[in-house]
Amino acid sequence: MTKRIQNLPATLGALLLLALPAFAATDERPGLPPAPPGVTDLRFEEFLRLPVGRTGLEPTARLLALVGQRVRVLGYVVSEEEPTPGLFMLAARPVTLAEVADGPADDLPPATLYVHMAPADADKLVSHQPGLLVVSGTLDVGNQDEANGRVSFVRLRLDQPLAGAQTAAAATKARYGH
Amino acid sequence: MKRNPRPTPTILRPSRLSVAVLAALAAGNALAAGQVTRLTPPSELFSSGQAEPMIATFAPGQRFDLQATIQPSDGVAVTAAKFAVDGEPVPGAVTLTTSGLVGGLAPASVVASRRAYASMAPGVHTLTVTATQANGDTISASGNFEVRAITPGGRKVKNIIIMLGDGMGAAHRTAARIMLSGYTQGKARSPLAMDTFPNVAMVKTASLNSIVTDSSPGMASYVDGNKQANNQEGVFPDDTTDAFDNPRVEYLSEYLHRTQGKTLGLVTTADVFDATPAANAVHTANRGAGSGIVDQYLDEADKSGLIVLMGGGRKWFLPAGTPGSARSASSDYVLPADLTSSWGVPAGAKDPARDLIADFTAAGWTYAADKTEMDGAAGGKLLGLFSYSNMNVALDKIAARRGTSTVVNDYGFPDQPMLDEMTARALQVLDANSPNGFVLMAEGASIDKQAHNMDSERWMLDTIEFDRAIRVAQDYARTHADTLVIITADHECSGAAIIGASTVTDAVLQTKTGSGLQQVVGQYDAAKFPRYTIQADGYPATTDIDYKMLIGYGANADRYEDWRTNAQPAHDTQQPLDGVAPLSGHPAINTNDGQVASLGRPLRDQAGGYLITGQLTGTTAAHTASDIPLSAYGRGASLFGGVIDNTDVFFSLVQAAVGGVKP
Repeated sequence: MTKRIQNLPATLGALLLLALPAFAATDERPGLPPAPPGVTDLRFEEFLRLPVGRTGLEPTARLLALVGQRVRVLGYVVSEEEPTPGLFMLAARPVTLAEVADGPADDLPPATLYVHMAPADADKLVSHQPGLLVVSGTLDVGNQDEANGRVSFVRLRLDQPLAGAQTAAAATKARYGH
Repeated sequence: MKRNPRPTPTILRPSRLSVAVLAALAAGNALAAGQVTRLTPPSELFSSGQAEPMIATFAPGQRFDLQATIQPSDGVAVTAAKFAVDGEPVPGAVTLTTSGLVGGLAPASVVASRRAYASMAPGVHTLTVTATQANGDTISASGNFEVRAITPGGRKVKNIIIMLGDGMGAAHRTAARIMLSGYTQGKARSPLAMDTFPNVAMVKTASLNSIVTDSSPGMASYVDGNKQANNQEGVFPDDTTDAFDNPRVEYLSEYLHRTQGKTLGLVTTADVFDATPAANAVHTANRGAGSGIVDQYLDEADKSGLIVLMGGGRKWFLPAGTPGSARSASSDYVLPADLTSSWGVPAGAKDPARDLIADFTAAGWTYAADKTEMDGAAGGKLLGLFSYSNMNVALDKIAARRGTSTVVNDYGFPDQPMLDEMTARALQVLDANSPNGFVLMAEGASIDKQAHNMDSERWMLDTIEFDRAIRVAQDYARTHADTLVIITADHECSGAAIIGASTVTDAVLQTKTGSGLQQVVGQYDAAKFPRYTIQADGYPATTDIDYKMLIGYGANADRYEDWRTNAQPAHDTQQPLDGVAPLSGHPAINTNDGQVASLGRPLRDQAGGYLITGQLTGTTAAHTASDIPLSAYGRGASLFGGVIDNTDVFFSLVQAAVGGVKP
């Protein structure tokens, strides 16, 4: 059984800088509190060497150095027509997938973060959360077949369950007001 | 993600019963009768007993598979099956498949196949299958199909160019004309390239199983003359779980390569595995089976004549385990022996570790990773993979070239060609390496994808990009007389409608909220003539002009609308800049280690508070069943006209290439 949840806490209306300063080893992002001890900020532009070369993607040294570490990533929840329990995707830019019509022919950027929910939330769906989200967890890198039919390269494993679940109907009502 | 394509429902129809079974039933014996529950190719005769309309139609000599699903009497195995056409036994082996069948069939059901059949005899033919059970009882059923005659004696078309605007209906074309050309006193200032094609038809686009098609049958019907079920391309439905063993129908490319030595070029702005390009050369019941689809491009290139393949979709060509690879065994295939031997194709392998780019280059292809390499590529075969999945759309590519957007760079593929540049390069390669002519399909793929997103400006600019590619094709046809160019669409997308124009300037529009955004829609006289300024690169200087054209959607999901161009290619245009502090009064950011926290940004255009309720659930608009316009230019264009079925297009193309056209 799956249960649709609303990401939380609900803090609608907050506005955050999207265009962040250029990469720095210690990332100060205006509006974002300092990362907790033991957590390192990681940005999408630090996932891969850009531009992409002639063949595959190349992870940056920074990305590889943070494997197994706790990181914090800021991004947009990818809007899916058929979200998968326990899994959602985060991207540097808002992305809407029409996977019912187009399958895996999509507009996902190569640097997409696959967020795996904590075991307690493995059966829950994450409603599309408009706007920016910050997620923290343990970084994992390497190709992996995902339950949504895609192959991930960069993953974050949340290590704490989410509180304040909402039903799908409540999430829809909160979003559109009807 | 399309993980489970909707299965085609089994049409249950009692078959004729043998005398022995009838006698048993008459005697009150509780003998369950065996049935043929599917007969391929599909026919109305089989499904309802009516001879018309004719469902399956073929060109003389066009290959296709005969197949039947036979559900036997309880406990009595089927030991043999035979096919007959017009009462004459069809020679050749019939394979009985008893494993890997879909659920819900009777015990001991079989799928009987006779692969790669063809008939040269024009006319309607009766197809009969007769299955023999172990107890000697027989089960039979009949259907029909038609072989459509080719009229000989005309001058043959050497080259066929199919310009496919995915999702492009009449409104999409009109909007592109208004934006690009402008109107004055009721007249367009200049035509689109597609407006200059002299022959026009309206095309019916229904698929085998729905009035609303998708791109798989929407494309395939044009190039194989038959209806396919949604999600399926180059095959008919069957009752096995394997998506690549379905009964095949020979494509135009395969037919003309086999009979005339023509080559094939496929160009798209989508992921190259996507339905529209694939439905010219790949046979599968699962349009989402990416690994197998791209493998088949290469492995059966000697059947399709494929020598040009360009678009996005590099993720399918990288060995599994390589960063960015999407390959997996679950989306790959191994073909059954009867299919491989009859069609003369390799069985394939479930080989996610395959380095497909290396295999293409080993087979003599030149690989181009970006526009620069495409422009400089030498050799007779060209593979271009310019992005990870779909290419970036025209609005974002042009903005990148103008230096006004970072969207393209952020995706990591900054040097992507435009569709007209790809089409021109494809024509160069095809022209130089096709002594017997070629078939080229060039797709403006994201007209559809951006219409799904209800992103009006992005699909309009993609339509303009598509029109520029059409001009390239038309220019080629002007200097190569035996060339036929058709422009069409697989279906209409989103129910797009030009509802009018803004009655206010862009500056005022930006101040409007809620019902104020509804009140700015100028209808009838108030719409006047929106006028966009076109830059030297052929695209509007801005899509946010004063009194801009406004688009509504008839197949829409809920959306907020502020009528302005979205800065990003999906949701959310609110784009704060460096150095701009967070707005005071907004809630503080709340984060907890290991938890997800919302920073609460609005939905796309939500700030204006103008909610347009859709007819559909979800977040995207959908395809519609509306007929779409087809335009034709060059030799053979006169074959197109009237209201036609998408399958009729195939026969006009075959007539043009095989029988020719009288001057």
